[in-house]
Amino acid sequence: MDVDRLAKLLASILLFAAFIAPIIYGLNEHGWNISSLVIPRYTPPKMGITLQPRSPKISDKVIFLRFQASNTGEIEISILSFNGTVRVSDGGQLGSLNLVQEILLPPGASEDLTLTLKPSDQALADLISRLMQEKQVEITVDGEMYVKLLGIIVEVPVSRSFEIGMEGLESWMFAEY
Amino acid sequence: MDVRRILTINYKLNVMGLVAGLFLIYIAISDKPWWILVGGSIKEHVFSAELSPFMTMITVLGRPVHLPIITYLNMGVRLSFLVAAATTILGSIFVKRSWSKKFISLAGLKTPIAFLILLFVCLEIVKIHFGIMIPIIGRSTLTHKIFLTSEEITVHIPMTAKITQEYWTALIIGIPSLIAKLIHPSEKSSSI
Repeated sequence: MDVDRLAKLLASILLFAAFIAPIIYGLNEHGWNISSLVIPRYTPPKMGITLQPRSPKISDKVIFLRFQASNTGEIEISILSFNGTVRVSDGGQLGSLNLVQEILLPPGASEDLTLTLKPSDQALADLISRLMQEKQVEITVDGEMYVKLLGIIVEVPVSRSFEIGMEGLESWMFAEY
Repeated sequence: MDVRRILTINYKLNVMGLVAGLFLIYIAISDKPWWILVGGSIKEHVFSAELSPFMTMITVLGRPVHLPIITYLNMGVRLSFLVAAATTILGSIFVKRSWSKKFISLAGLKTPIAFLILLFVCLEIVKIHFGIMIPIIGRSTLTHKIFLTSEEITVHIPMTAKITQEYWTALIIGIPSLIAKLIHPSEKSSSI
């Protein structure tokens, strides 16, 4: 074999060895288990929001539905807006909902989330009438919550049913009716 | 005026080869990405990918995605680049040896071109298999459905992709290796 060919062969072997050596090292480090070498490892951060209903308040024919919003995840979340409607179980629609103000929820934090509901006079009168008879009325909130996390806006569908009672409404009811 | 004679200092040293070898070392030890993809806003990233043949950094929701094989492949490319640099420098110094021309490596020029082709192929595969269109350069919006607290939510993530200055530097740096190969004296010319 001439020197030229030998030199070329040597350079090629060196290049190949340099490329393959770390891979062999890696295989050895992973106990020659190819799957552990090619399977990505990723632990996603936890994400979650819980909405705990609290007693509503009423003022000037506007119902303030209050929740305690908790960030149960590991990423900071901002609740920017809420568009939705409220229905009374076995009844009609009460009205549309709007978020009073944006809330910022760092991981593990809880904040009050207040939604305003402006029912028509008739719907409000029906609700009050049912509340006086049944003491507890189940309402269903359906809508979309716009949440900002890591710079992007995410549309989260919300569908929650919960009971509202006389608490928080009584003072206004007795004053108005 | 014979350019080859000047650039090889009268067939004694391949200057361009030497420069190319040193540039190869610079590229191999650089940890800067050649291509960057960012999903989300400028301040906060939902995901990001920083790639070069020598480094790979992928993060999703602020957490790194670790793929061991990529780490070892990057290491392999880095080592082979250093070997290519060493052979190029050797070939440039020992100009009169018959084997010297074969030692001049074109890795500095081939790698950036191959990187771009491979990136294009990978992005096409992602587009075909996952229906996600990621641009090589420019902006796009990724619409994806995920499950959050048992609800299916739709996210619209703006993406920005760019080829970095480091890539263009690597490509330009590869040109001396081509010149070095072209001007390298053949046995005939070096024996004059």
